[in-house]
Amino acid sequence: MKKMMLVFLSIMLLIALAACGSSSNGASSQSNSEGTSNFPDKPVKLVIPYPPGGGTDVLFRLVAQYAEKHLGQTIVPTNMAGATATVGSRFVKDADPDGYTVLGIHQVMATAQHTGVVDYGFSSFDPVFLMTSTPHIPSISKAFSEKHGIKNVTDLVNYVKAGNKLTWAYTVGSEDHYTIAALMDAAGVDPRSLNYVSYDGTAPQYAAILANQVDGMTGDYASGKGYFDEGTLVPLGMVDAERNPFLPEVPTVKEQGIDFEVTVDRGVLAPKGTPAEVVEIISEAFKKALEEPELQEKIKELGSFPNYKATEEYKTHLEELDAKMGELAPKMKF
Amino acid sequence: MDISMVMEAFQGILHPTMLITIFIGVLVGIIAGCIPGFTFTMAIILAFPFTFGMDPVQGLALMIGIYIGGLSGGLISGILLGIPGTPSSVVTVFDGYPMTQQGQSARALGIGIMSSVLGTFIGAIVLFLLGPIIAKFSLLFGPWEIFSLILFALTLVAGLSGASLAKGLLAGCLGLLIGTIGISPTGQVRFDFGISQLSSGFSPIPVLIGLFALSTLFSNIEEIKKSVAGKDTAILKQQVKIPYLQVLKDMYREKWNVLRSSLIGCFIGCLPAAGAESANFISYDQAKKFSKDKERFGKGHPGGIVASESSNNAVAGGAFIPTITLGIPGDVAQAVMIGALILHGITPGPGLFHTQPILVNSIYVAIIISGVAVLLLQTLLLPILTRITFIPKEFLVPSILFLSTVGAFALNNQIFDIWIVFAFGIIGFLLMKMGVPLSPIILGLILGPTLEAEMTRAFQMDTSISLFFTRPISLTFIILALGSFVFTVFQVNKQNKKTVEAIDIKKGA
Repeated sequence: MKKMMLVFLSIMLLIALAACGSSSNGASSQSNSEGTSNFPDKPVKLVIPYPPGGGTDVLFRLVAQYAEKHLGQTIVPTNMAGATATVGSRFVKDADPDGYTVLGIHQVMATAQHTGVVDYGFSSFDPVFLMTSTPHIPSISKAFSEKHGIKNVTDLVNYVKAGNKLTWAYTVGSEDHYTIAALMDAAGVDPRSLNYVSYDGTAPQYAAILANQVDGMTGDYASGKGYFDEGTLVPLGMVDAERNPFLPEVPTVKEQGIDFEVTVDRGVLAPKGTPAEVVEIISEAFKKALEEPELQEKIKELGSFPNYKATEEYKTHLEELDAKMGELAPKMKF
Repeated sequence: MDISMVMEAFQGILHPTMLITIFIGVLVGIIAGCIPGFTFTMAIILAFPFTFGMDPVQGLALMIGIYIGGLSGGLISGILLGIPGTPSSVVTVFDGYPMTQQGQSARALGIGIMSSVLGTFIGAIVLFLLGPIIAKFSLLFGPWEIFSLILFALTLVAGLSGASLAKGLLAGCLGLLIGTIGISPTGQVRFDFGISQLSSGFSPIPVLIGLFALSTLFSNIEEIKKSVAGKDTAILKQQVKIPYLQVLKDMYREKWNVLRSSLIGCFIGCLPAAGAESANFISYDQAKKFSKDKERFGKGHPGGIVASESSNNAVAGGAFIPTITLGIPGDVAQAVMIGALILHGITPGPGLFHTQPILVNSIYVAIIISGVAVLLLQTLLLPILTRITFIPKEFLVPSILFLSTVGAFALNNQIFDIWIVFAFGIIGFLLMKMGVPLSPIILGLILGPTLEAEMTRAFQMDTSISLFFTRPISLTFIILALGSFVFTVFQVNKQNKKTVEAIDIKKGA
C-alpha cells in the first residue's frame, strides 16, 4: 500500500515537472543578470502572442527551429494568446531585459495602441530584427464578385464611392484592420463608410465568406490558397511593391492607381533596456538561419518572404510605420 | 467516394509504426485529459514540434490520437474524484461521481469508456458519410442562428440548478458577468478595474479548476479534519473489476441516448463557434428530457454519463467536418493540426478532398483506430485507475492541487492564472456551502462570450433585430429555448411540491 502511494506520488511529480519544463523554461530563472558575455547559457523564450496554429505561430516556430543551431541554445516558442495580442506583448514588455525573453510580433502592436487597447507601442521595446514580410490580399467572395462585376480594387473602390453597402470581415485592432482602412483612405474613400463585421482571426472570416455572410476580407496567400484555387475567393489586388510569384495574374494595388503598400512585417522585439550585444547575438543567429535556402523555400511556401533587417534598419522601419498608423488612427475608431 | 482510396488509407494507417504512433497519442491524451487543468489541446500543442520530423499522415495520426484520448480521459477524474478533467467532461461528474459514492465506480467508468468509444465511432461514420452535406448545412448557421442556439443552450441553467431555481439563475448570471470581463468584440476594454491582466478576460480553464477542483479539495480537507481517516475509504473499497455484463446492459438500455447524444455532439462540433464544452451540456439536457426517470438524473443515472461522454467524443468527428471540407478549423486543436499540415506544404481548403484524398481518408481511419485504442488502453488501465480512490486524501489532495495549479499555469504561461484558480477555488467553496450550484457559472462563462460575439456580428451585418425571428433556423432555436425554459420551470415546481409533501408526511408521522 505504502509502496503504491510512493509510486503514485512520484509519477504525479514527474508529470508536473515535465509540464513545467516544456512550457516555462525561460521563465523559471530570469532574475539573474550575471554578465552578458556568455549569452545565451540557457534557453531563450520566444513569446508568440497568438494561439498555436495560426500564421504568426507557424512562421515563428519554423524560423526559430532553424535559428536554434546558430544561437547554440534552444528557443522555446511560448504561446500567450489573448486581448488582441496584448497579453503576450505586455508580458515581454515587463520581463527582465536580459535577452532570454523576446517577443515575436507584427504591426498589431501599433494598431492596438492607436485603437486604444493598450497604452504602449513599439517605442516601449528594443527592436531586434525584422524576419519576414507577408503581402495582404483584399479579396471578395465569388458570389459578390459575379453579382456586381467586381474584379479588382478599382472596381471595389468605385462600388463603395457610389454609396453601396460593402460588408467587410476583419479582426478589430489587428493588422488586417489597418490594411483595409489605409487602403480605402489612400483610394480617397472614408474607411468608416465600410460595414465592418468583427471576427477572432482569419479562419472564421473564411467561413463567413463561404456562407456569403460577408462580402470580403483581407487575407494572405498561405491561408487563402485553397479558396483562391477553387475560385470561391476572388483576389482583387496585391498590397505590396511587386506582384506575388504564386499569384502572378493579380496586379498590385499600385498598378491599379492607388499609391499604397504595406506588408505584414513579422519581427522580434526585446524588452526595453536589453544589452546591445545580446540583441546583436540573437539578430545574427536569425540572420544566418534566414540565409539558408531550405528555410527560405519553406517560408515562401507559407506565402511570406524572408526580409531580414538588422536592428537599426528595423527600428527606422517601425518608426515610419508607427507614424503612418498614428495619422490614420482617428479613421479606424468606430 | 473512391473505395480504393479508403483501402489505401487503411493500408497506410495499419502499418505498425502508425499504430504505435496512434497508441502513444491516445495514451498521452488520456493522461492529459484525466489530470484536471491539463487538456488535450495543451498536449497537442506540446506534440506539435514532434510532427515536424514525421510525414504529414503520421503527424496527423499522432495528434488525432491525443485528441480522441483527451476527449475521453476527462471522464476518469470526473467519475472517480468529482473533478472534471477537462471542460468537456463537466457534465460527466453530475452522474458519475454520485455513482462512485454509491460504490459503483467501475460500472460508471465502464459506461463512460463505452460511450466515449461509441461516440467516437458514430462521429467518424457521420464525418465519412455526411461530411460534405453537413458542412453545407452548417454554413446556413449565420450569427443569428448561432446566437439562438447558444441562447437555447443557456436555458439549461434552469435544468442544472437542482432544487433552487433562483440560486441556479444567480450562478448562471454570475458566469455571464465574468464572461464580460476583458476586451469586447468591438475592441473596447471593459471591467479591467485598471488591472492589465484582466484585459484578456478569464479563460474558462483556470476558472473551472478553481471552481471544481479546488473547491472540492477544500471540502476534502474539511472532511479530513472531521473524520479520523478510515471511515470513508471503507465505502470506496469495492470491486475494481468492470461488471462487463452490467455495462453492456446499461449501454443497451441507453442505445437511443448514445445515438442522439453522438449526433448532437457531432453537429455542434462542426459549428465554428461551439465545441465539446457546450455539446455535453446540450445532450445531457436532451437525455434528461427524453428519459423516463428524470428525477434520477444528477443522482447517479447511467444515462447522464452516456449523454456526456458519447457527445463529447463525437465532437471529434464533427470538428473535422469544416476542417476537411472547408479548411476552417473548428477549435484550437484543429487549428494546430492545420498548422502542422501547412508546415508540410499542404494547404487545407475546400480542395483538400481532391488534392489529398489519401490524407483525408487517413483521418477517418485514424479516428476509428484511436477509438479502438481508447477502449483497449482504458480497459487495461482501469484496475489501476480505480485504485486512485484508495489513496488517502491526505496524499491525494495535495498532489491534485499541485498538478492543477501547474496545469493552469502551463495553458497560457501566466502566473496570474494561478491566482485566478485560487480566487475561484475560494468563491466556489463558499458558493457550495451556500448551496449554489457551480455548473451554471461555468456554462455562463463558456457560452457568454460566444453569445455576445455572435450578437455583435449579427448587428454589424444588419441593424434589424427582426432577423432573429424571421430566419427559420434561428426562430426554431428561440422557440426551443422558450419551450425548454417553461418545461424546466414546470418540472422544478412539480418536484418542489413533491418534496414539500414528503416533508409534510414526515412531519405528520
